[in-house]
Amino acid sequence: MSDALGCVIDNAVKFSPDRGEVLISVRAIGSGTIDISITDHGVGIAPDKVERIFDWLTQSEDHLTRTQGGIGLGLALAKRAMELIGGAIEVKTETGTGSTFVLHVPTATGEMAITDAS
Amino acid sequence: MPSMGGLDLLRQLHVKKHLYEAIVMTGHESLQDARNAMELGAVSYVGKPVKHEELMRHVRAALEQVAVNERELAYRENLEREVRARTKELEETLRLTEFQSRRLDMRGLVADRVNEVLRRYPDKAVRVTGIE
Repeated sequence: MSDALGCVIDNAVKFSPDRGEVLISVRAIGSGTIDISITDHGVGIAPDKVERIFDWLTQSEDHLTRTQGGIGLGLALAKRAMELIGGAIEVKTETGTGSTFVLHVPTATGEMAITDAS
Repeated sequence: MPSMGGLDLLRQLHVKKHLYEAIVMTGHESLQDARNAMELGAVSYVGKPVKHEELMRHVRAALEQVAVNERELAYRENLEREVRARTKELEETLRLTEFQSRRLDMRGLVADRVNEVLRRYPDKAVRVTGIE
């Protein structure tokens, strides 16, 4: 979970323009889930690429500039990590506007994730 | 009694588990029978013939015992309800406290990851907000 979080924050900062802003919120959803949402104002992801960004073999280079490099396997690993703890990851994005990644963390595993991270 | 003995009936009634009380009247008194009757929950053991007044005394004692049983049962049920309600309240409070605590821990975890990432991109001067 900690790795998944690190990966998504890394992407958000990496794809933000210089002196840009990343907005993070941690919210309790009902009594069993904590949502962590990470919003950047970077280049966004093209609609036809969105569904593939969590795939193992997708490098998602197309929408990136040369200076930013690729997402690589980070998001695929992040998605797998979230699924392993019974959570999920989703993305809302618009080309040219930015992306919001939301990590749905079940609280029963929140403690485990924190212990693992320490 | 024609079909079964009084003590057998007592065994089947499980007197102690119910609100009613039993008075055993017998034409063949014996110490052993009296002891058995009491052990099976009878409130009185009376030899026949029995005078009306004496029988009424046993009946009144039995009715008093029934009233005590009813009060005890009501008290116990009320207590159990109260304990269940308080336990539920406590569990809910504990759950909320743990949840809030995890949420705070989660913010700490997010802050740690943010700091790591920002150290990786010192030149971008990206500002991260929302978890101050």
